This record gives sequence, structure tokens and C-alpha cells, in this order.
Amino acid sequence: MGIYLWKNTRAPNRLIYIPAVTKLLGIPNVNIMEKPVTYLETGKNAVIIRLEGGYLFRKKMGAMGIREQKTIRLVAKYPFHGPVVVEVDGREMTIGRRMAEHVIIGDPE
Amino acid sequence: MKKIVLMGNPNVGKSVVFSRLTGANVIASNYPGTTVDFSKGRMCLGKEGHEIIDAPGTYSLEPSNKAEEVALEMFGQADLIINVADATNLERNLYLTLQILEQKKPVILALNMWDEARHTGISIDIKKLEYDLQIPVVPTVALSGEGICDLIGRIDEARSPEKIEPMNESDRWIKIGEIIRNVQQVTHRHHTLRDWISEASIQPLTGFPIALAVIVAALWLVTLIGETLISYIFGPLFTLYTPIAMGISTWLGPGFLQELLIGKLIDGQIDYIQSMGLLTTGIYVPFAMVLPYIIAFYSVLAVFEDSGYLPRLATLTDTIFHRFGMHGFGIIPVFLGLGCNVPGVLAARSLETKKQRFIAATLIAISVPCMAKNAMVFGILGSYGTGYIILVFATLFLVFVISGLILNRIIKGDSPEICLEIPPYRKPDTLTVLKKTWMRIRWFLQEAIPFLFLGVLLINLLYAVGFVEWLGGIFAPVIQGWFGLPKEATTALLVGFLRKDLAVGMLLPLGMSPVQLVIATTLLTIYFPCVGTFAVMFKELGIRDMIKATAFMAGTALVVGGMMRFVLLGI
Repeated sequence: MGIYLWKNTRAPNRLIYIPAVTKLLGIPNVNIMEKPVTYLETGKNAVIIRLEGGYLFRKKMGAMGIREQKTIRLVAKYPFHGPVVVEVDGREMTIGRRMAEHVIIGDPE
Repeated sequence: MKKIVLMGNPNVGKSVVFSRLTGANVIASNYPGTTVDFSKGRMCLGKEGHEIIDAPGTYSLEPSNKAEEVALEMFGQADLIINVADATNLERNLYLTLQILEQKKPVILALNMWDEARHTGISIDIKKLEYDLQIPVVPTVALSGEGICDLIGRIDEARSPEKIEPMNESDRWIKIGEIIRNVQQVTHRHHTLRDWISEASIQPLTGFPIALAVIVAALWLVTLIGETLISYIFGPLFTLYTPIAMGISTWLGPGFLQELLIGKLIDGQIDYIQSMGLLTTGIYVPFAMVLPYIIAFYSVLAVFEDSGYLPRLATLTDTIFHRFGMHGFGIIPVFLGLGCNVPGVLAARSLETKKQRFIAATLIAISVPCMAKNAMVFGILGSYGTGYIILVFATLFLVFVISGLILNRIIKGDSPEICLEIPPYRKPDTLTVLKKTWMRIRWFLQEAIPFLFLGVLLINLLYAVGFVEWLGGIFAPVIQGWFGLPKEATTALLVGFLRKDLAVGMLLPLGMSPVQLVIATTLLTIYFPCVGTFAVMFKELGIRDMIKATAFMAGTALVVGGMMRFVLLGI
């Protein structure tokens, strides 16, 4: 679980957690965190814990190999809200930024 | 006769398997979405003949674009399914396999790219997989033909297992997980040069300079190959041919036949571009001017397609293409359209929504010149200086960008985000590249020659009955008054409907200045697509959208032509 302090305008149903603020407030357990895969540093891995979205979105992602419990690597992130390249099971794929923002990951490895 | 359908995820090699099974050649490449329509072929099994159908790739049995709808339709008609799966990515491929098995049709599974799986350290226990799925499983390497005999031999064993019942999505993934744990072992592998290139070409920082270098190199290579073929092979051939043609001309003597076959002699000599005879211009334009560039373009394109670079290019251009109401995949139809607009418009099927497909098709028809026309532009404007050629392409590029921005605003509908698999780089196989290039050249010859002859015939007939004069008079206000071109250019625009390359050739005898030629050749691309493109747009978009697209083209031609006249010629 995480403590949410911030409403994300791009994905209103998800709240963003700001570690610096929680630290200031003295809230422990900063590393238990959920955030979208776009927050990963380029080249880093994390485990997908949730796909936020409807049935069709989850199915589309699933068919491409992006599913819960899978390890995902952020290969590249394009500027100007451009697409994101991720790698799952050794396969790279390009997905739109908004789709990527709905792929929620756990702690980076 | 049984209908056997090849089903599988995109880019697993269905088309290569199809070619292997039937001996029929179909275009296969290394990017998802190569096949957008079905192809039919035949294969004999014992005494029985079977119909084999190559379907477009699909991730599931619920279609998300037009190409996948075709796949589903083919699935419905099938008596037997050859499920082609990518051995390097078994887990994901099994999703479709399970969906197919739930439909209770006899299935045989081909695990393609078996060699690549081995190299990447993936080992799959075939026996266990057969036991788990209860269908025959055959490892294949379609590119080299390995395992294909085995596949053919075991088609009879295809069956539909009893124990697999329809299930929901999460149950399917659970089942796949069990199977994978049971049959697959992955050993870690080290990074290779290929991974390094792959990484460099997909990172924004290095990817854009690489893309620019690759495209410039490709253009340079196309012109180099094209010009070399013209000056060392096709040009000299026609030098040898000239005395023969002159002989025929003298033998025929003046009259209708000479007019038709040889055409007008200019200073007593044959001018291959201007004479307009069936045996002169009718064969010179396709063979000596266009064919060399067709060969050059398609051999370079084949290397591009087979290497796997196109999906990376699509990723790089995604942000820009969103401004045009498409996503990055839109670059692939545009690339194919540079060869010929017809396959370009067809490739737009892989885009998800109607809006995207409409914009892609319209932009290709309006601003992507095909290689046949480009070759003529190089041939004719080239003699005045490269600057004029650049002017034509720069204008068309601007038209592409501005039309894209406008269409994105005025066309209603969604443009969803990109969702595209990036295949690993593969070394293009020389034989496959040559074969593919040859298929496309043959296609060009079959399509181009009849229409060119028809065009030459039409020109002669129209001149003979005085239609040209009449039509020129009607369109004079637009052509002469607005575009600043001689009114005879109307005929060229009319012929451009049949063959754009011939139409460019027709501009030469009109005695225009280079700048007028620039305006006329640019307009020849914008105003209207050729009949082949028109037909395929009609089929893909339907009549209402086709009319919309045509109106947009005519409007753009008027605006751009007028502006070019204003800027380039003064008033």
C-alpha cells in the first residue's frame, strides 16, 4: 500500500505519491510504492502489479505480453509526451504514453 | 477439398510458411502487419488437393483493426488450422493457440523460428507441449525450409482436443503459465552487437540521427542503383534499338500506323520521350526510365523491410504522426506508397480506426509520389538541375504536413495510440530480398505496360479526334489562368489518371520553363490519384469517404497550384 498525496490530472483515478513530501511529514515506508512504468528510469526493471483500465485495455496489453507479475524494463521514453518503449519477456514494444501511464509497477529492481 | 488456414500472431512468419507450402510467392517481411489481406494457394496431400489460405496476423480472435477482421473471417471458413507460433515468444503466442483450440477446429502447431529460439537460449520440450495441448507440434524454420516436410506429413494428425473448454481470459493465462513452466527453459545469454545496434536505434538521442543517416543513405543508394542501371544497361540497349525502330518507321512509311507505332519524328529522328508511339515512348518510358528506379527502390525497400528497421522508424516518428491524426505506424504505408500508392493505401488497414485509415490513404494519394513518377521527374527535371527536383519534393513534403494537420482537425473520430511490437533485427537474406524485388518488378511490369500502351493509344486517339483542343479550351481558365501553365497541359493531367509517369513525359514537348515543369509535376501528384489507387481507395474507404478525399485533393491542387504560381512565377 502507499500513501497518496497528489491527484494526477492525466489519470484522475490514480493518485501520485511524492516521496520527498512524505519524508517531510515523517511518514515511514517510503519504498512501498505504486507508480506507472513511465516513472522508471531508462534501462531499469520493475514488476507490473496492476493494469489500470477496462477489459479491452487489459486484454490488448495482455496479448502483447504486458501482464501482472511480469517484469518490465523501460527501454526508452520519447520527449513531448511521446511513446514509451518497454521490454517484457525479451520482446520490445512501443506503446503510447497514456497506455504506459496505466501500467502500474512496484519497486524498481 | 479442405480449407487450411494459417493463423498466428503478427510477424511470426506465416507468409513464409505459406510460400513454402504452396510454392506461391507472397510478400513476407520483418515487421508486424506485412500481410493485410488473405492469399490463397493450393497444396496436394497424397491424392487430395487442399486450399491453403494465408491470413493476416492477429493477437486474439477479437479483431482490433481491419486486417485482423480479415483474419477472423478466414478463421470462420477454415476446416483445419495451421497455427504458426514464434518459438522465441511461446508464452504470448499460446494465447491465440488456446483461443483457437476452444473453437473446436482441428489444429496443428508450427513452432517457427526454431533456430532463433535455440540461439537465444530458449529450449522447448516438444513432446511435453504436444501432451499438454493434445495437438501435433512441429518445430520449423520456414526461412530455410527446415521442418516444413514434417509439417506437411503431420497435417492429417491435426485435431481438436477434448479437454480444452472455453474459458475466460485469466484462466487462459493461468493455463498458459502452467504449460510454459512445464515445457520451456530459458538460459541467460550475453549481450551481442545486435542488441547494441537495437538499443542505439531506439533511443531518442541516438535514434533520430541514425534514422536521418539511414534515410539519406537509402535515397543515395536508390539514385545510385537507378542511374547506374540506366547508364550501363537500359540506355545502351535503346541505343542498339534505335536503328531497328528507324527501320520500322521507314518501312511503314508515313500514315496512321507510323503515327501510332513510332509517333512523331523530331528533326527526322525518334525522340523516345516526345514521339508518343507505342514502339518508341510506349516501351522507352517503362523500361529505360522507370524500371531501373523500380528495381533500385524495391531492392532497397526489401532490405529495409527484412532488417526490422521499419517498426523502429515508426516509434521515432510517432509523436509527429500524432499531429497528423495517425500514429507512428502510419510511416509504413507512406514508405510503401513511395514505391506504388496501391500497396501503400492497402497497408493502411493495419491502422485501428476509420479516421486514421482515411487520413493515411488521403495523404498518400495527395502527396506521396510513386516511384514511376519520381523516376520521370528525375529523368526530366534532372537535366535542368537538382534544385528543381528538390523544389518538387519540398513542396510535396509541405503539402503532406499541412494536409495532415488540417485533416486531423476536420476529420471526426479517434486516433488511438501506437501499440507496436519491435521485432529483433535480422540479417536480410540475399535470396529472399532478390525474390521479393523480382515479385514486385513483375507486378509493376504486368500493371504498368498495359496501362502505358493504353495511355499512348488514348493520346493518339484524342489528338486525332480533336478532343485535346476542346478539353484544353474548357480547362484553360484553371490551367492557364490560375496555374500559369500552357493549356495543352490539360491532356497530361488527363493521362495522369492512367499513368503518372507517361503524363510527366507528355509535359516535355510543351516547351515549358523549368519552373512551370516544377508546378506541373507537383500538381500531377496532388490533383488526383491514378486509376489503380483510385480503385483501391474506393474499395478501402467506401464511396462517401472517397468523394470526400477527392474533393480535398481537388481543393488542395487549386490552392497549391495557385500559390506555387504566385511564388515561383510571380503574377
